[in-house]
Amino acid sequence: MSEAILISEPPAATAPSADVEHVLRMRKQFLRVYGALVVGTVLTVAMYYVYFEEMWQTVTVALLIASVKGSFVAAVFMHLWRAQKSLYTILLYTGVVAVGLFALSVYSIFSVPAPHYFVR
Amino acid sequence: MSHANSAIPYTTEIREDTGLYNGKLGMWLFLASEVMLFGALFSAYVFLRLGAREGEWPHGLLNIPIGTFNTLVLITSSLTVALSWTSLKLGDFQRYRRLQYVTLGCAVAFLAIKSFEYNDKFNHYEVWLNEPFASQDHPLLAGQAVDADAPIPSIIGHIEGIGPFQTVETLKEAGATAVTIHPDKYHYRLSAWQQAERNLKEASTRAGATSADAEDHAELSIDLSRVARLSPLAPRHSTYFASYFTLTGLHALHVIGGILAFAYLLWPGARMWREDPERYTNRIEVTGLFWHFIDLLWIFLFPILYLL
Repeated sequence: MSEAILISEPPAATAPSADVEHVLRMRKQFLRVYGALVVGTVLTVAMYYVYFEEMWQTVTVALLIASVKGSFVAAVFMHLWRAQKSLYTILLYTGVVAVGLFALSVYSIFSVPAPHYFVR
Repeated sequence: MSHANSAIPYTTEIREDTGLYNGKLGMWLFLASEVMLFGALFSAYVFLRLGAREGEWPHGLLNIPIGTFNTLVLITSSLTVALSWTSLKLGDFQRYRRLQYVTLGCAVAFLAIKSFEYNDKFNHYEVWLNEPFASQDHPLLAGQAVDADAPIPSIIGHIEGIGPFQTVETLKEAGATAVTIHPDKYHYRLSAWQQAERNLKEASTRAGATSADAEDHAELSIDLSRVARLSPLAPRHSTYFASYFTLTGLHALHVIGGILAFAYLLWPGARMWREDPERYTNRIEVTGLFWHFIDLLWIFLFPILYLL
């Protein structure tokens, strides 16, 4: 048998150890999250047609919807829901840096006299 | 260890101290560095966006239906990656392979749509005038003015007969003396498109035309001596487009990386399924983590670039 055939038709190997019921449950979860992401995308686009008085209100609502969608992806697709402690530690440090960056940006906006100086 | 001769430890076994196999830990550390990279770019973008003066930040120039469709394409690819991993967990290689074909199809479709969008922007121009047009003289350009009677300092639209990336200088070098522009219905300086619609209706009524005429038939020839600057919607157009191309370009590079990794694992790398299915399944899981991260990035990129 040629190598090409072997690659396209790998012989039945021992399946990785898995609790079949658990895997099937995960499949259903993935499909539910997919549905939620589609609904979230529709909501995000619908927000475009809502007029907010201030730009920061628009930004806040948009980022809120995006955060909910992102949380679904991270928690379910990326298995962060009930993940190992070491992963939470890595993400804690990452989160602190990321939030710090945003905090610096927000601080700058309220501290620099004319931030639009940087924008043509 | 299932791979007694392997130089890499903990490819399938769980390390006691981390509770993870090494590949997964490595991928998460890499993703943490990616969060830093994109976090810096996102925070810079939000800073610039909030600091921009009213009407100076391009708004409504990206195609929202196409962006929405691309978002759905990427979300679908994330689902198929997750499902393909569960198929391997259940030992169903054929189902895994079919799902990964869909993933690769979605990934290529995403890039193709993005290329179409890029090309459209490179052929879409803004023309800044030395002296603003009086809107009374050009009633069908009312959608480009802040209100129906305001002067029009620049016009945005498609220019007839010129390719991408032209400037006033390159056009003059090529011997052109004027440009013919088909203006967009609205200018991005109008943060509320409803206002542009009102302006257009008001001015069109005065001119005895309909707003549909403005969209379909407006055409304007402008002498190059009256043009102060001319730029396609490329990075040099504005801070917004520089940010747009940086963020989406970097994201597209990640998509290409994901395609290469999945394609490798689907074809030459599939040998491992015969030899060590658990290790192969783990490879799909960590590559999937990378792919879900790409999806996660787009979930944030789409609203901030297309809708704000």
